[in-house]
Amino acid sequence: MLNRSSLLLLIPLLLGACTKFDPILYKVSGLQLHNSDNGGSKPVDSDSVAAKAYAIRLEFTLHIACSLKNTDTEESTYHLDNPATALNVYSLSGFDAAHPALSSLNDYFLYGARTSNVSGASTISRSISGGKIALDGLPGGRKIDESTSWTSSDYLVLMQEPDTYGSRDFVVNISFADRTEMKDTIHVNLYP
Amino acid sequence: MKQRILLSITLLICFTAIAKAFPPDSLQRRAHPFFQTIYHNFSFGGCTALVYYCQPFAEKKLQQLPIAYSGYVSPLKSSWGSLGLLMGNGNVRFFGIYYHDKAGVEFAFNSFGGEVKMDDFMNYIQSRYPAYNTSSYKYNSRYFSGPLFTLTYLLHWRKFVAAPKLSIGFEKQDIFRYSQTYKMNGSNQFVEHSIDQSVVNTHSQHSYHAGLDLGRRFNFRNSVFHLEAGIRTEYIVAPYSMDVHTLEKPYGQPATESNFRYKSVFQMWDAGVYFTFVILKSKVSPTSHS
Repeated sequence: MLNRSSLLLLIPLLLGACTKFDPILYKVSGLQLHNSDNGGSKPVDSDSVAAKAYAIRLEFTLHIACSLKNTDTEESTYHLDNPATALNVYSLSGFDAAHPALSSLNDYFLYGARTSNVSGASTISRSISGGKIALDGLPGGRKIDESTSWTSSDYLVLMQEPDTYGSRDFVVNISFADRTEMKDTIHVNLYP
Repeated sequence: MKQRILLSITLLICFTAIAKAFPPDSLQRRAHPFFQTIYHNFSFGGCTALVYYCQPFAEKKLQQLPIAYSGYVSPLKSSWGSLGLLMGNGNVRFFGIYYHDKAGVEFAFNSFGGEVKMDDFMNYIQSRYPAYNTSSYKYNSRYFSGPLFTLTYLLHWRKFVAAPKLSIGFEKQDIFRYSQTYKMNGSNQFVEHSIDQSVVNTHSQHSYHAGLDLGRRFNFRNSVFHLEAGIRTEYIVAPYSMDVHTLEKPYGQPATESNFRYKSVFQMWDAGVYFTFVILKSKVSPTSHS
């Protein structure tokens, strides 16, 4: 039977169960590009890819950007502290008649955290405005401290084949809310 | 959440204080005369533990609709139901109150329906998009859930009780938006396929239940608490109207859309066992009246 004292003991327990943890803030601190073959059900890294199945894998380096006091690795949500404000992808050589060298190819690529999730609505501009760049927090179950860093990948999926195949360099340039800018170049062989 | 806990504690203290304010009767029980009257003339049914088998019937109307839709919502698998609120088939009777342990009303929360057998739909999708990876989507379900009000009349024979029941439910149909992107094998090209459904006149979504409970009561040491165990069966009819919008859009090409509205009737039969308790003052017991 519950008596008065046990009821009193229950109250702080019930209140304690409702504790809300702060979100864990993280930042993007690095960007590295990889070539991906998206011909199968899952993309695989490859430096020679059929143009119609080409995707650029953006590997972000992420790190904790807050004090972990009053946070919990299981309960806290992850919140990107420096969201991307602009992303530009272009080729160092001409892509087609409408896109000479160094001109933006943003309208030829779609963006997704997984290539299977890419749809017609996954444009780069929507991904930027929707805050969908580098959105993955640390996978659960890992112990973290304030120096922890990890990597996360997103994909740029090429939806238009170039006029000419062969070797090509793509550049991805991303600006972040904290006014940092990250840029990387990738070399790929695209075949028909 | 904190406010709810504080409110619960406050209500508990208030009820205790109010109960203490009344003078005790001959058995040292304290209650307002109104509640004493109720106690002497009514019996009360509590929460019911139950397990039952559910068999939805095929809806003929759906078979006349395009398979891209009908295969997505039917046929439903048979399943098991239990005491539960969260998912699947479930029924929670919060209380029942019976005048002289005969005519009564009950209030419950119920959920009924089932998971869809997706084979027809997946076969259709695979034949429609043979060059695409269509293996990702294999689940849908249809459930109706909401409060249920029941009228019942208890028929007694010795320790046995038969309770025919008529119920009306005020449900909301749980609808999932189907939206899938099928990627072409060997290419980045894809096709988007979506099905949006919305119930027409959500406020008039009702279900009608006809059921029968057959049970036996057990009483120990002449307590007011009686345990009741038995079998139950129920037939459910839930008419509804649905607006449907389907879209098929290969990337970079115009979309093919269709809109239609249909009326159908969901029907299900279930049967199982139940176990509950009844607060029954001996004075209102039908055996003492006979």
